[in-house]
Amino acid sequence: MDYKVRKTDTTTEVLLSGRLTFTDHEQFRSVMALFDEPVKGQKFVFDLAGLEFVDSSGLGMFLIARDTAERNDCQLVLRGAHNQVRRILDIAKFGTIFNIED
Amino acid sequence: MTDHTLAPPAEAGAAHGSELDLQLRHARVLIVDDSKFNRQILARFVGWAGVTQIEFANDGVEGLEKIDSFKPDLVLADYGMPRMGGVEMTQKLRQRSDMVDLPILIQTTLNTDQQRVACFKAGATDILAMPVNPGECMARVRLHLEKLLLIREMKKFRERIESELKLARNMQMSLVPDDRKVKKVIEPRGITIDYLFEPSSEMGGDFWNIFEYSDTAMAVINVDFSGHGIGAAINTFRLHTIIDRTPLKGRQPGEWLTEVNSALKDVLPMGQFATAFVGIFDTATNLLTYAGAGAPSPVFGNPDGSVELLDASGLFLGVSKRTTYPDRTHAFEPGSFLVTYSDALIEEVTDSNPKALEEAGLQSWIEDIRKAAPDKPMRVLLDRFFQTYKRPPLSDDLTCIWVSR
Repeated sequence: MDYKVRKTDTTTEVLLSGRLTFTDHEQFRSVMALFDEPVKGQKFVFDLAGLEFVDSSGLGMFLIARDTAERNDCQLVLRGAHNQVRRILDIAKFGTIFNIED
Repeated sequence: MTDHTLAPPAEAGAAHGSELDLQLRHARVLIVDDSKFNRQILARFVGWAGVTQIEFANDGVEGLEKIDSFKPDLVLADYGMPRMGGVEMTQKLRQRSDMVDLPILIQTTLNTDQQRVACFKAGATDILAMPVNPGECMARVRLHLEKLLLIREMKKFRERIESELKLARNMQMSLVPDDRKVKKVIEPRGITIDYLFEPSSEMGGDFWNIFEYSDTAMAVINVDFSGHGIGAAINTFRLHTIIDRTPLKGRQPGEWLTEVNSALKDVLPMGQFATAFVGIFDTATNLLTYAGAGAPSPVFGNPDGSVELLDASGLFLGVSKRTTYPDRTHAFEPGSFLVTYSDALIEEVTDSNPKALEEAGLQSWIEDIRKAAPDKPMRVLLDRFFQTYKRPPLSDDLTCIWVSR
């Protein structure tokens, strides 16, 4: 998995690409570090357009991000998922606990 | 030779007090040299290195004789001695399988390339140039003893972990049903089942079970915890405990899963969760009632020959305490089958085959198998999977259960 960060005053966008799996735990930690200095009401967007594949461990990382965002009163959005990524988000019913945008 | 009767060189001296120094004190060194003077000098250096148990031999023949009685941790041998020199003695020692790792240091007077090569060819661990320098001798003896002690330590650690893992694996295997239990449930109900439970390492995060539900019905549970290895395996034990006090009998699968989720949420750390499928197969009502918690879509074969994916979607177990899981139903007439599996089956990729099977691919494989109607359909499915991807051990735990009627 690779990622890029785009920041504005109100929004932090994390553009994920490649495959997000069990082996990316360490790297995802550095993504999570973005939540370390939260601004109340800040919006976090995981842009998944470049993501080809997510396994259940990858979904676990979104759950950890969600937990952190909730504790910091931040809004978290999963955006642009397609193909397998979209499918696994549907199977895991992530729409019921995340804001999912096309 | 210079006079070494005074004190050891300060910088090469033993740093007293460390764990390793304590172990060095108990290390045993055999000095093999025909010169009494050399034996005394070497003993002094070895003593300065922190070793207290030192034995002597006058030549290679005597050295070999003392190996089994003294059991040295390191041998210091002279290159040239009457009867048998250090090189020949080393050769003889290395022929013994229990002497392969023994550090053997040979002292050579004529420090020529030929002699060095002869020493190493015979199996010497290191050489000491004569005249022996005290600092160098102490440093080399310590280095090779430390290496040996560390290797022994690691070996011991590895053996302990291996035996503990073996025990733990047996415990995990006792959580999943054996052939006898499976037979007892399926035979009276006219159902057949084929299954594979294959953790990717000694232990894994998959769990499955089969229960008698009523005189005409049985239940199958298939759960896959996030991650694999020991951590995930511990979660399967937690689940086992919860299932034990949450009997499925007499309950609908959705209601049962809702309760199991609530209990799991209390014990699972953040970021750990499980996918689950639980199905009740009733041969009297010809109905499958099932609930899903984000499990990979089960593949269902209808009596008319069509093969479809069932919806086992749902929030993972252990994510939210408030989740409720609905019951879903599907006809389960004679001639039907259902395949439930862990995601390893559809997500495994290899360097030579970077495209995972995915659900659609699995569905199409099972359609092929259905047409060919082999005796053991799951065997055919897994053979094709192992040939296309790889044989176990896989990168994730694999469970596959094929229920047919």
